[in-house]
Amino acid sequence: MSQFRSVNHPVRRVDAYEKVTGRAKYAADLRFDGMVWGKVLRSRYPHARIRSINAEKARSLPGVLAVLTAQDVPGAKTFGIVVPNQYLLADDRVRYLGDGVALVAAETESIAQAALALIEVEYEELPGVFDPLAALEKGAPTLHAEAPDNLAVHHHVQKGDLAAGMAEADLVLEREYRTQFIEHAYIEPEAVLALPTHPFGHYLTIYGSFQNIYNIRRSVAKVLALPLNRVRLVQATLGGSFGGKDEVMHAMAGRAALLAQATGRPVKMVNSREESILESYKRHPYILRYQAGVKKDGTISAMKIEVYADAGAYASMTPFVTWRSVVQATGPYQVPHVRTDIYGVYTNNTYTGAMRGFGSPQVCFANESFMDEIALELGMDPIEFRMKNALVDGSVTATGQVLNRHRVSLKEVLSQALEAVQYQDKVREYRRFNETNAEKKRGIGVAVSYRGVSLGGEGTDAAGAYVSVQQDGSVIIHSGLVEMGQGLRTIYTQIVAEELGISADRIVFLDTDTSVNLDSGPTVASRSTIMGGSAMKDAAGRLRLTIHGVAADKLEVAQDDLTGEAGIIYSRNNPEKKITFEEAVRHTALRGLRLTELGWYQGPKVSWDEEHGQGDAYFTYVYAANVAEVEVDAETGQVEVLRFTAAHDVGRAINPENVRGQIYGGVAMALGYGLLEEVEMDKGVTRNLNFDEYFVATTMDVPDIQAIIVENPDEFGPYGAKSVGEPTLEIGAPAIANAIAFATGKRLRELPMDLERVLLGHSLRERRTKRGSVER
Amino acid sequence: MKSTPLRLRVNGKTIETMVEPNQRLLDFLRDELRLTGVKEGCGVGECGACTVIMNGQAVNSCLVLVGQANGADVLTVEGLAEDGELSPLQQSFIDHGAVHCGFCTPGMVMSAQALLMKNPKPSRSEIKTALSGNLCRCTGYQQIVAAVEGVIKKVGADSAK
Amino acid sequence: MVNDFRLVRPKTLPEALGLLDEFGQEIEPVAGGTDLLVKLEDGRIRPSQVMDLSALNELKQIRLVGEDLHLGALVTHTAVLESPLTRTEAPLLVMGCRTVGSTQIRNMGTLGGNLATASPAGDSIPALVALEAKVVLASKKGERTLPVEDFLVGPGKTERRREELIKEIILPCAREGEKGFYNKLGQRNALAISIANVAVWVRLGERKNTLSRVRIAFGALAPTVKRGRMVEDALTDRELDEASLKGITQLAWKEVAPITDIRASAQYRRDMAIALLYQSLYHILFLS
Repeated sequence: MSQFRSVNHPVRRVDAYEKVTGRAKYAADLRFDGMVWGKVLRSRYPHARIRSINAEKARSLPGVLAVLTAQDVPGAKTFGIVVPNQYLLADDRVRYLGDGVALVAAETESIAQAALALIEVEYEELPGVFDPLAALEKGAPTLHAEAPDNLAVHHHVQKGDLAAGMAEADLVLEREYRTQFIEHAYIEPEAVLALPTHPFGHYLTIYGSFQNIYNIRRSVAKVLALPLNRVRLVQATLGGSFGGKDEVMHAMAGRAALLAQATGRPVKMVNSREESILESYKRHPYILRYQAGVKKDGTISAMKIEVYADAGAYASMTPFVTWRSVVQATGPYQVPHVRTDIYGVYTNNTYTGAMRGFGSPQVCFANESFMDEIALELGMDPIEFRMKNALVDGSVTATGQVLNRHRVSLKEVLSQALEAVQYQDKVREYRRFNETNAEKKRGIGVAVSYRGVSLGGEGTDAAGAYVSVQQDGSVIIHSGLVEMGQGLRTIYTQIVAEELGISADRIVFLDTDTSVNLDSGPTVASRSTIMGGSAMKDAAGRLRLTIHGVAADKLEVAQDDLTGEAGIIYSRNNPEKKITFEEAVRHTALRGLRLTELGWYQGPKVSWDEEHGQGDAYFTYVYAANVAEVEVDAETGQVEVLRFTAAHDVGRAINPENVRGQIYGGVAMALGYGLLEEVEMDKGVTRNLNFDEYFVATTMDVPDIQAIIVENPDEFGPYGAKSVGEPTLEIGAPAIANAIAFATGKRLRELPMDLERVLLGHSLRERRTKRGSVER
Repeated sequence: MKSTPLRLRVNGKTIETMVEPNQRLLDFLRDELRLTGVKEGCGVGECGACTVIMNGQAVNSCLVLVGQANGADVLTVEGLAEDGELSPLQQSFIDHGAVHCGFCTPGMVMSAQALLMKNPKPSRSEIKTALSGNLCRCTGYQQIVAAVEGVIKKVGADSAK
Repeated sequence: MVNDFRLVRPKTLPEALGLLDEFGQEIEPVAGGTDLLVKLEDGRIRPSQVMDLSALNELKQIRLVGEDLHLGALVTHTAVLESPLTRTEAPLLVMGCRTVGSTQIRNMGTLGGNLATASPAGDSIPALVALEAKVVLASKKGERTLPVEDFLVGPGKTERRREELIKEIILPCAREGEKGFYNKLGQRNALAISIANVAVWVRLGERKNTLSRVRIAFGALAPTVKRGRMVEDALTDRELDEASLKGITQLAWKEVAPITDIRASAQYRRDMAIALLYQSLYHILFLS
């Protein structure tokens, strides 16, 4: 029996009723009187100079209200959170195929579409560069004046003495791994609706499919030259994001706002799936070169890692994504001597940015594949090898951080996962199966991870919460962190219900609105439960003190003797002494006491020394172990994932059903990452623009998933809760790769492990430009 | 040009109107009838977010010309709940945590509903087949399949009472 | 964005054929719409008239006529899966239809539509070719019948003239001693366009492990669905074991002419022609 009443229980989602009835309004569902349609003309080339734009014919098309180009942008021409080098509309150059060149507002969507075709753009095509290694070569075409070497960022980690560590080793192994462009593939394409300042009010309002409302607001304000308080963003129900509805929404919101201001009409923009895949940023493809020195007994003595990340045309989140990679690149192991370098490189490919995992799926694929390869070379069981090197309480990470403020539960999650699948029995069973079967081969594979919680050394980490008790005892809450399907509203509702001792159905979660909520930073990095949840707990806890203070007076008991449950406040010592929550609230209000609180939580101190590549990168970590069981068709290369087991230490599961949901969803996404998905870029041209050729796993591809929740409460999290969103997808692909290697004896070092790669070990299709080549 | 006459039933109501022949059923439902529970995710029949039940069959409303629905009986997610009372299937989706971002949910519910109308006791594999045209990026499908299994069990148990 | 067009909706076949006779050049017939709507949407076709066939109930029948099964052009893939007649009389076709797209696509997509679209990867077509099905084309002037194999000319190209409609498909009913297998390879288990597929129809020989007749059709492995006659001959009237099967199916390599596209390379596809054929025959001979 849980010690809690509301948290730690599988409370039903507070937003499910609207969604299951079709009543929830997503951005594309909104409409206003007088609304017009906006459309974007995008580039024709991945890299070109714009010589001229002639919009006369488009402007004269009946029904067209405005055609705008870069020169119509009143404020800054560019936006960007880390490096503001992305253009709202291309001025004299386009750097990737998704760049916007001109905007049209028209009475109908089809007129707007027709007008796009009438805009005449004269381009001078420029040589492009489509491979990060080629982009670093001397004489490669460059994209940005401030980056003459095409280098968007370089981070490093330096620990110990690499040469000495390698010298101690009995075996030095070197491998290269590659990952692919991945589309977020939220099922809801991007959409916005902008209301102009006039005649609608003193401020601009934009409804949309927004993930990070405050960042988006900042960009819109900047490009429109408006102060922040005159730009109001309201989040419509968000149909999935996974890190994806950020910069692409900066552009879309800014463009819709620009059109709205120009026309004085509400402007709606909705991307088709093709537009979405063409323009929106992707998960970075990485080239990862791993080298490890290992002793005969299986101890890792040193690791040297070099990683090249394709940033595409703009910086976006590359500087932060690669930073998480550099911190976590050696995986959850004790490695005394480390040197890791990661380079984010500009190319004329679609730009890359935040996506669930945020720099971890790539390094996890490489490192966890590498661990199996090393174990094989050593003739050691891969589990034993991992256990031998695993981080434990008090271990020092690659960045020099001593893990002494939380339970380092790597061995615990791994043991639980192995026990659940009966690992050793399965190993024997599949070996026997493979001896007697030529056509089908079975395998089992394991991967583990540790992951820094929240933003870490990326930046300021704080979040707020608003909790307001109404005079009838009902409660309104809202947050600057957003619901995107992950269940944030339910989690926060549970926390407030727990603190106030009332049932969750007494609480209403208000819509997300930048003019009302507290700026809590971005809803990223699996930080909503630990950061926003702590802020909710703070606000609701203070309200409880106020209300219980009044109740204590009324009941004539000591306040610390009171507890609240199911809407009744009563004395622990004498439960007969009780008062309803409503009654206590009524008296609190009568006394003129404050029934609204703003909560705040600031993350514990972290540190990062960019010069020395060391620091206490994150204030706490989560640990995970995944086990994949596969069957490979030896004649076709088809991989069937038979079963998948995922154990995650989440600190405390505020909502166990929700945690399981995150795990199932993450695993399905990881399966796609491992086996199915790739945005194919052919010299900067996206070849698969819709779901007929970008393969998201279907019901028939995802196996039964066993989710194992491990709870080691953390001192920093609300009720000990940490995070779960991203760790769930970072190790599925290497677990599958390891299972395929078990089954076939073939090690696949490139994602996705599609039919051809599994059968032949490589792809015969011409997929990427050759290494070192400069095209066009 | 709204040049083509159309008569059909949507969620039990007969509708007679003029439509543009190039309109998709999806657009007609969303724009004319304001049934925005019907979602557009891909426009090419590959995601299932726009699934409605037409004459007893789950169809992608993005792949149907509204004229083709002349005389048809169409059911959308808005037609499932009666007087605000959720259908057992909708309730089961909520009970099993099968609703995350919710964008695929209406289509998913309609595909499941169409299955149950044809086959009240489908197997797990029949459920997966019936839902295989509906992409979901959040849930990994596990809770969705459980929700459909749950409603079969529940309805079975209720009728045994 | 779908262009403007006039929508006509004939209620009878003669009415439809009359319209085609008059406007054949500018009219685009639509059956289930699962393919045509995509083409309309992305502007690949911009017809001035679209003829919706969905009211032609006479083309939705599945009938037994003598030793043959007659399937109206508007019979959906789902109808094939659910009809007791097809289940007993055309199990190979049922297998093919089961792998089409998704439930929603199978509910709308029709046999006639799939034939008219003539995608080399169309999942119901290899079964029809392996069954030596015939297609009946109707026009105002009359009807003509030709083998499905001859009907298909190239990717998206058929023998259908603008004034003609596919009326029905005729295939011989399954008989004792006949077996079939359909084997599709896609990257996913649903919503997958075939990378390669093969339909195999055989009549078992009198002696064990022999086949007295074999018909093989490869899909997604050539510009149209293609019969594998060399392999068919090599397999006929000889005793087969795993080793000889392995050897003979290698011939498939010569029967196909695949391309490299976003889904697979030509060489991989060639290898798959062999693998899928071997698996199918192995299944027929040794597992069923």
